Amino acid sequence: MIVAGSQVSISPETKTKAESDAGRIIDQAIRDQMHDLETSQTVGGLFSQFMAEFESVIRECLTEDWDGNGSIGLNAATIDAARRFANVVPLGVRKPSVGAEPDGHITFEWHTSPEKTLSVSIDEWANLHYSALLGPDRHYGTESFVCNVPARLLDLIYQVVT
Amino acid sequence: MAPATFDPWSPISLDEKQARFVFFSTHIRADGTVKPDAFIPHPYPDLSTTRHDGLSEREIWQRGETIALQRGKSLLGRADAVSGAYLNQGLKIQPDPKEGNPQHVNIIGWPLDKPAQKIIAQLISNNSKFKPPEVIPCVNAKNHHGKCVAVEGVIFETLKTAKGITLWNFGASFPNQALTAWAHSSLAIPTEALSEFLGKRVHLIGKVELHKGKPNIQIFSLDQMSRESLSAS
Repeated sequence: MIVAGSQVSISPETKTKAESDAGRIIDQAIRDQMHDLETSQTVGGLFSQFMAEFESVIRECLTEDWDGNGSIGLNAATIDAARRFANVVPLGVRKPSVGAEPDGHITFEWHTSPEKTLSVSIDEWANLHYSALLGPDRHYGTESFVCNVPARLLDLIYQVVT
Repeated sequence: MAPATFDPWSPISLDEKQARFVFFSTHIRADGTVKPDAFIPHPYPDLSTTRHDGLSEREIWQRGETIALQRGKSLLGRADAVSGAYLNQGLKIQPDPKEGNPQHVNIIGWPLDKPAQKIIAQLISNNSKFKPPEVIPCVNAKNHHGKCVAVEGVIFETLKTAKGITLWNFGASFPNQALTAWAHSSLAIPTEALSEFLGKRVHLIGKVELHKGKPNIQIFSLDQMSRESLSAS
C-alpha cells in the first residue's frame, strides 16, 4: 500500500508466513541459496561490510538516550524488522548505509548524489517510512513491510542506484 | 568575533548560517556529506542549531564542544546551512539563548508525520556542508582509519589507471605516498582535474580506509577536494 504523507501501521500479529510443508521447503531452499551467496567472496564481502555497519549502529544506539539528548534506544522488534528487511533486498543491489534516528528508528540509505537519494526509516512495527529525491521530484510515504521489499520502494531503490 | 552585547532576538537573514553539531559517525557519509538522520528533530518538536552571527570559527567550535561535554559525546563536526535552507521548508527559527551559547536557536514548525519530516531533513541535508573540527596533515591520515576527516597535503602525483580509476597521491609519489585519493571510473573525472591539483596544497574531506596498510579516501564528488591559495613549494 502506498500512502503519501501519512502513516500506516501494521501489527506483527497480522503478518503471514509460509505455513505449508511446500512453503517451508521453498523457504529453506531460498535461505540456503542466500547463505551460499552471502558467503561467496564478492557478494559476501559486501554483505559482511554491511552487517558490520549494522551491528555497530545497534551497539551504539541500543540504550535509551544514546545521543545524550533524550533519544529512544533501538528495541528488539525494530532490529528484527531491519534485519529482515536487509535480508530481502535483492542480491546484486548495492547494500545501503545504516544509521539510527533519535526516535529509535533504524535508517537505510541509498545515496548516489544529492539528486538521487533514498532514506528508509524502519520502526518497531515494521513500517517503512521513506523519502527520496530524484532530480526535481520528491517522494515520501509509509509502506508496511511483511516479507518482501514493497514494490514502490524497490522501484525507488533501482532508480537511485542505477 | 560576535559583538559583546549580542542580541539573541536580532533579525536573522536568509543567508546567515546555522551550525548543527554532529556527534555520530553514522550521520556522516563516506563522501563527507551529512545524512538527513542528523536533522530529525525527535524527541523534541524542534531542532537545535547555533547561529554563526559573526562568531569566529573558534567560538563556533567552542559551543559545539560545550554541547558535546553536556551530552557526554565526542564532537565529530558540524553541518552548516544557511537559515534559508530551513525557512524555505516552512520551518521557523526561534531564539533560545543558553548559558554559554546565546546564539542557540530552535528550528520549529516540523510536521508530525515521519515521512514529511524525512523529506524536509533530506532537503536541508542537501543544502548543508559538513565541516570536521580539525584539518589533519595527510601524513597522519592512517591514524584516522574508518573516520570522516578533513585532510590537507600537497599532491605529488596524479594518474589514471588502465581501468579508468583516477588517483591523487598526497605527500609523495607511489609507493611512498602518505595518502591516496581515488575516484571510480564511473565518476568520469575531467582531465583538467588532474592537472588542477598537481603540486598544490589541497584540502580533502572523506572517510579514511586502509588498503595494504596505506590510507586512502574515495572521491564521490570533486566537491570533496578544494585548493588552498598556497601553492606547493
